[in-house]
Amino acid sequence: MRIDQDKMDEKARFRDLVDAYGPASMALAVNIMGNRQDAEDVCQEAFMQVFRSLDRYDPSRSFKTWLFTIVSRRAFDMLKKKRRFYRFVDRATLEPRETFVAGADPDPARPLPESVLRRLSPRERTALCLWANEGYSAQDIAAVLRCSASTVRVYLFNARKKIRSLMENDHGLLQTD
Amino acid sequence: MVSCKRIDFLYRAVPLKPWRGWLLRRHIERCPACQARLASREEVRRLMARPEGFRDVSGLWARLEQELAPAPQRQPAGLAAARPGWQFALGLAALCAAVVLSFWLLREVRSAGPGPRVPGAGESFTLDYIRVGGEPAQAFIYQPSGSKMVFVWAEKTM
Repeated sequence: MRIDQDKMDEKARFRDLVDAYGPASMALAVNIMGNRQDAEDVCQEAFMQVFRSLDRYDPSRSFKTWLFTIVSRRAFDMLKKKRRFYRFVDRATLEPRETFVAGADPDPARPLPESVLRRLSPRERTALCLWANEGYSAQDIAAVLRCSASTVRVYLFNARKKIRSLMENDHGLLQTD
Repeated sequence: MVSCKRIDFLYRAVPLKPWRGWLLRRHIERCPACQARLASREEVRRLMARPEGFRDVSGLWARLEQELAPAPQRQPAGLAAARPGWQFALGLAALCAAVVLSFWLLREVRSAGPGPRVPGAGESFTLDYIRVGGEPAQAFIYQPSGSKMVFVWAEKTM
């Protein structure tokens, strides 16, 4: 009976973690993967890993950063696996993505437009998402991506430049009704 | 502006991340003209999926809960010990291996013999008359067993 109670408590605590960090993790995963189905798979794997290795978590580090590290690594792994498959599959068969409509407030759950997704690398997308959504600095992003802050600055600079260029050249990114 | 162009040239000229990071820190991140050439945080946010779009995590939780569900209860140790255990598994594996091996061997033996349904060269290919250099020639037709290829060999009759 005592063990059951402990398990229930553990599960409730885990549910709190999912409620607190699930939305941010899903947003990060959708931005890396480019679609919701894959993002849900990534988040499921990441949260299960968190649940299984909570005893190894170092409390001196930010929990969010630790979780984002796991999410991004899982996403990169899945992208690597999918890349082999996509080599043989016509991209046209993939689900069509919506384009960005200037002026209207875009749906916050919408994945990145295809043109942006194609131009930015997964690491650039990760850096950009953490910078824009979470307000992370280059140092914070470096802790997630396990690279130097200089490298993150380069990722951010290149990604922001590409997006600006896409916006100016109107590659379907700034469609107006 | 001239300085910005020079920085841009230096950035492009040396593709080393520490060098580029240093240039970004020293100039680009502080220069309003250079910043104007980059997408702002708000513009990027509008493009990206945001956490407020995923407030409802019940779908994710349902999947996690399913995975967290305890595995079926194991049988008591006493009962488990009474079972044949690994010897049974080993015997079953050996039996499976024997079945697979015998099936494979039988298939090999069957396919090694002449195929009864493969028609002979004469049945599938006929030649009425053949001449070599204006003279009647002797013709041989050969078809390897199980192949669709047909060899025609013409030989002068002396």
